[in-house]
Amino acid sequence: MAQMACPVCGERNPDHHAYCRVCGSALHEKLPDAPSSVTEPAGPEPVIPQWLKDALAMSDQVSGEAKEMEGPGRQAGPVEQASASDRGRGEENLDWLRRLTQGAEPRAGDSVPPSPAEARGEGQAGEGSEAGRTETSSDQPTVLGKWLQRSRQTLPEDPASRSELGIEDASTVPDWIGDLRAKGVAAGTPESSSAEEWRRSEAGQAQGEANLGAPGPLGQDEELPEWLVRAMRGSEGTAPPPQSAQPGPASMEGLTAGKAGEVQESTRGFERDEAPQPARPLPTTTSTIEQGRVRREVRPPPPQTASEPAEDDSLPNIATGGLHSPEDAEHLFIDLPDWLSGSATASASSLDESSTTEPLEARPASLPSWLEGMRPDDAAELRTDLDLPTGGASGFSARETDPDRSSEDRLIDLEFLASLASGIEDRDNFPRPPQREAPAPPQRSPESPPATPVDAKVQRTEVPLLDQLLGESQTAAPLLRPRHPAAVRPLRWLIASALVVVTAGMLLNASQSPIVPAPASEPATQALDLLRSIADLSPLLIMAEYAPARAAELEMSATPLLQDLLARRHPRLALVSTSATGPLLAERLLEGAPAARGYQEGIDRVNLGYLPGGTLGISAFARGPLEAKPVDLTLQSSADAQPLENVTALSDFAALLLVTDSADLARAWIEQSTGLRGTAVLVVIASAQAAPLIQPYFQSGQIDGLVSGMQDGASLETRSSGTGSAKAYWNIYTLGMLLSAAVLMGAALWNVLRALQGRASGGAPGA
Amino acid sequence: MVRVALALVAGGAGLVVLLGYFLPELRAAQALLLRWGMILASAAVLVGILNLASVHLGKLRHREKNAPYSAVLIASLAATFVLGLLLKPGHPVLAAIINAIVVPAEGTFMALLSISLLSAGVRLLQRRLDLMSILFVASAIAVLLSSARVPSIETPIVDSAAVSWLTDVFSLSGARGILLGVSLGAIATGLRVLLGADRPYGDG
Amino acid sequence: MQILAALIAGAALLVGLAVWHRKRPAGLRRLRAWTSLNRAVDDAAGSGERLHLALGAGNLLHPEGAAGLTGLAVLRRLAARTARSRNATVATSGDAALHLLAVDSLRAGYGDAGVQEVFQPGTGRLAGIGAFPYAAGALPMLMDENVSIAVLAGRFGPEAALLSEAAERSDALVVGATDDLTGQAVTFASASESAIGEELFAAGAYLGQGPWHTASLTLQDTLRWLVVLFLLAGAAARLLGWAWLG
Repeated sequence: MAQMACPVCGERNPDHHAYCRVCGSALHEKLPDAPSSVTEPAGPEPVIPQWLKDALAMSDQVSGEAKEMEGPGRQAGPVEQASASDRGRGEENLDWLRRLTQGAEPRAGDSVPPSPAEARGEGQAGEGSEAGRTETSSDQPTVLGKWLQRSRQTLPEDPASRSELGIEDASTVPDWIGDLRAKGVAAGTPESSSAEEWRRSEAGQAQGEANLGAPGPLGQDEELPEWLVRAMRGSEGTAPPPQSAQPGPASMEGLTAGKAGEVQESTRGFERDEAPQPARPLPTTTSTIEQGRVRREVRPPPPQTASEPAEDDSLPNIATGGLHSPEDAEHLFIDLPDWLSGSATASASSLDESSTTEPLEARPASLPSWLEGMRPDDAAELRTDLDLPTGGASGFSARETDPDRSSEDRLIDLEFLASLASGIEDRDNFPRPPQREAPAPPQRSPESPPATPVDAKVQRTEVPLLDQLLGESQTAAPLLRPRHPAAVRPLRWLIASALVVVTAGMLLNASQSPIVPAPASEPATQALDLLRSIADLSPLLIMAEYAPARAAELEMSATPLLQDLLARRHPRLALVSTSATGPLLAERLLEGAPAARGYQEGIDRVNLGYLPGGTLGISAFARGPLEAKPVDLTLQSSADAQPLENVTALSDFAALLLVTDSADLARAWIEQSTGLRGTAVLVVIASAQAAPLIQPYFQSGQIDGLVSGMQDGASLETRSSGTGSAKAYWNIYTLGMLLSAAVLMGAALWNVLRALQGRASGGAPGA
Repeated sequence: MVRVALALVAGGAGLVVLLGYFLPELRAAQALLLRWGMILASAAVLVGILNLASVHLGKLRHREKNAPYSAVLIASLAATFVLGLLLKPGHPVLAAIINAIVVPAEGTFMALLSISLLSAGVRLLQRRLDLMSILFVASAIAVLLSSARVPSIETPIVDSAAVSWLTDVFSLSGARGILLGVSLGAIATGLRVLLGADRPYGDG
Repeated sequence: MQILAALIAGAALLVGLAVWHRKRPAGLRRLRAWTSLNRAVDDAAGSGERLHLALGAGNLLHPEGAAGLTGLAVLRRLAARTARSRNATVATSGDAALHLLAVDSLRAGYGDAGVQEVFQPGTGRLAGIGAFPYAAGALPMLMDENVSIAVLAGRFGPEAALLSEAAERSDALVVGATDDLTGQAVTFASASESAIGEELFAAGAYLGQGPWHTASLTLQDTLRWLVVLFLLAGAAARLLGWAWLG
């Protein structure tokens, strides 16, 4: 099996894989290169996807043909005819295609579409380059344009040639198909054509997560659909399909530009004649056609019964490969890839449902995702997404449903869509589709060949195939999309209710069934003893390094210690914090200690306020507190503050009390002050979450005491016989933990039992 | 050329700060650069607040979903800012704002978090039933039980020796291992930035 | 001075590895979080779905700033890959300096893709200052903006559970990567995919950010093995009574 190396990690992967099995990078897509140390950014590139550019180019080219298609006598094209076969899909999906097919008036300066060889060369060059592409939507017959261009070519008149299903030689292979084959899987850039993206999405859909499988339908080994094969052979003088009495969306031939005789290779796609053509005999024997890699075994259609409506055999039914029953489609499309055979089978099966007498209507098609927002009912959402002014989208949506809009209006809408796709930044000047009057009916050029109408039934059955192809290209199924189970919300409500009931019950019965906290840990005990040993009225620095969310826990943990210290030693307090809310939280902390109520600002305590710079600020403060904080929270000079008398360095403080919920902040204060604290006692009051990570600092002697969360706070409160709420809330806290443990145990048992039961019954484990 | 100069300046400043910890001669330059960094960090807060305001003003202007909440945010932002300028940060009014609005609001988030975490723990085995998930849930249950006590019973649910072994040996060693790895990653990232090889911002 | 020497050696090793990896891509082991993200981003870019990158509230002036810088590298790469998507990638942060760099990284990502003209500065947002205010500001964005992929790459604590839950309500793929221990535990339980420990710092290599990131990953692995060896040697020395080594 051929293998290729992943461009990111170098892992060898099978050639047909789209993604690396180790790192998940796309194997065949050239991602934007990671920037080197000094590189110039790539020049501005258009954002319009390649397929849209092709459509724009195509619309320019068919402008000359548009006039011919207007008018009441215009015959319905395949789009219109096929739309009648599927009423349930609504009109709007095909609007974009309708606009493309109806074309527009020729604009000044439109270039003559180049020959297929030129277009092939340009197409390959355009897809191979990543940078420096410019918009050339108006002067290049793009992939779609060439394909549709050939749809206007007449079928060969020779019944014998028309009866053979296939083409004669490889030169009649459509250029765009040849181009795409040549590119295969290996080519592609991030900006490659929509076919590349479409192909990747198809590959992902087909194979799923484990194996992304073969490239999409446009890889090297693809085989052509039958309808395309027969159309490529080309014929002339076919009978025109019956004209539709109702004006409907233009046929796809409207898209094809070009003048008579420009494209001489064999025809494919949809072809039409103006003059009635003799009925083309259906194949009576099984024949094998071969064209390139295409090989088909085609059976003659089953004979019609009397009850069946007579079908128009003037043209082969290119949607079903010349067959007129769904059963034959199964045999016909055996060699096709799954995506195409499924589509064709579905389209063939629709024959049973469709009626030949149904009026032709615009058949909806799948829109690109970004075009989805242009639908009338999505106009508001689009405005939100694209930040559009309120007027534009609604005006556009109204235009979408108007079947009598001129081709020029549709061309304008195409330009509007292109500008949407390019992501115009100036939302206020977002372009709106200009309103223009309907142009005069187009005058047919005497040089142009007579338009050959395509069989209505043929077009009706084949366009769904096209729609499905295009729709699948726009809807790439994501690989990993976890689904939010519906039972999550009730589960959450249940857990919340249980917690609320337990905590509320304990709050109401706080005096009953007290829970005895464990004795204070050794670090907490040591902290209390050391703080009790400092001198009276000595300076004490309190660092409040916690978030308001944990204020409750830390206040309950710190208040017993603080209360005991303030009551015994009445130290001078200095408050500081590296968080913006820290200074005010420090004030709040003091308010919880009754002994601090006699402290006066500026005399007994000073709030130095916010210390910016994170670790840098801590380092600066540790080296020179007054230099780092020259003014306090009241914008008074720190050096003149009475609580900071005779304090010039960190070592002049008797004790440092760090209240924190972050192990990183604790580490920063500990490490930055190492060697600068002198004999000052450093005690850390930490939340239960951070305490285990600060424990090693106590064990290594870098800190002198550690109070771990509410448990130590309640224990200290008991030991110091101080007032506080730690013990009261400890009951609620511990019951909450018990409840949580019980819920987790129950859920774990339940899930494990379900998994075992599933395995025993042979089902998938787990949910 | 400008990009090269910017990269050199950034790398040079980082090197001076780093070397200042080892070379006493660079201490003064290090202190100066640190002060400049603190000033820039403070200014960045102001710029960020302006961005926050502009985003929510945009929501108001375009009448997007939840625009009323954006209006409340902008109003409270402006009010707090003006009050802070006029009354100075230590004023009781600002303390009242912290006590009455900020702390209860964040406390509410913590409460919601407890429910979310418990819900996630319940669904973990449902979503992913493997050895690591089972160990995860088992360790969570063990830690919860080791911290809890049954009412009116002095004996803890889990023996203290087992608790200390669980926390000091298992938990702490695992945490240290992860922290070591994280530190190594931070060192490598810092070296990349110092060498100017990794500048995701800017055009480099 | 030993530390300085070690840093210099590490820098030299990093440069050498980067030169080596320019020619030989490193063999990466499968990391589920980044592998899934790689493929999901391709899908999202192709189908025009929105990607939300949450950078957390890590302060760049703290040691946690390394996680923020890694998140910026991820942001730039993902922005480049989704620059042509219909719905722009949104980046939120909880630190002012990080926010400024995030906007710049977004712009650089669009520039890498060659479409800098369509960059909208409003896609980089400061959701709040601090962990919980950031979570409060990012929650509506995750719930209301049709996010299909939510990447949490930076410093996250337990608030990551709220973010993961909000993203899951939108049926989004949630990839969590943080250097905080609590955050790692939370993302393991709540996110679709999570990166544990130093796997956060491997993001650049897996997303194809270039040889420097691959070299950095190799350097991490090398240093980790050295640390393991030293720890084992120290433990053995203690057992054997070699005090000079222990």
